[in-house]
Amino acid sequence: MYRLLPILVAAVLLSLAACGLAPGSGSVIPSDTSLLSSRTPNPRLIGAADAPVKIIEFSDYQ
Amino acid sequence: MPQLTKNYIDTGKVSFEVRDFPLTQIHSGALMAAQAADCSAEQGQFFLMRKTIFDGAANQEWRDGSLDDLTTFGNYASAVGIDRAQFESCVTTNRHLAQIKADMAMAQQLGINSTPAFIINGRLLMGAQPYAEFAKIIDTMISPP
Repeated sequence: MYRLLPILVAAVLLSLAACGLAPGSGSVIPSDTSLLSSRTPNPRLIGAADAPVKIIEFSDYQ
Repeated sequence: MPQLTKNYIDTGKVSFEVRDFPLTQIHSGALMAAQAADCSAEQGQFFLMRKTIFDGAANQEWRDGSLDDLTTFGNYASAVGIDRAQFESCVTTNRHLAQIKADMAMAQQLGINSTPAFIINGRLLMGAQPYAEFAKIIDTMISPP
């Protein structure tokens, strides 16, 4: 029985990894690279990204 | 904006980012306009397209997000030098709708209900403001009294 334990643990970890839940898989960190604001460089930003003052304008177009 | 750019952005003191907050209840074309701007961002022409869209709105070249407006925005895309087919595909497939909704949710969390609205290092400033007001706030943040 104990000989099968490592195989069992590996199977469980592989299953968790497939679901993105394994420790260290990084899945808990939101990372939606489809969002423009998460891109580097941000195409909707002008100026130095590390500038001491950051202005964000919320804009309508009409 | 030219003075702000020259005195603060070009000198590395300020970064300026635009987020979308289309007021869809009163501006039926604003959502498509936001998508047009964001789709132009993909091709590196966000700010030029943004200005073109604003100028077009002032001249009533587009109104309600209709197919005619899509054609108008496509014409803008050609005018600002981006790939029109790629641009139109981006707009019609709502590629940046999630971004726009995320921006709108952030605005609502911040208590914003009109535009333009500005967040300056976390401080909310509502409404269009003269350059002097921006300069006063920025100078205070850079060199506190």
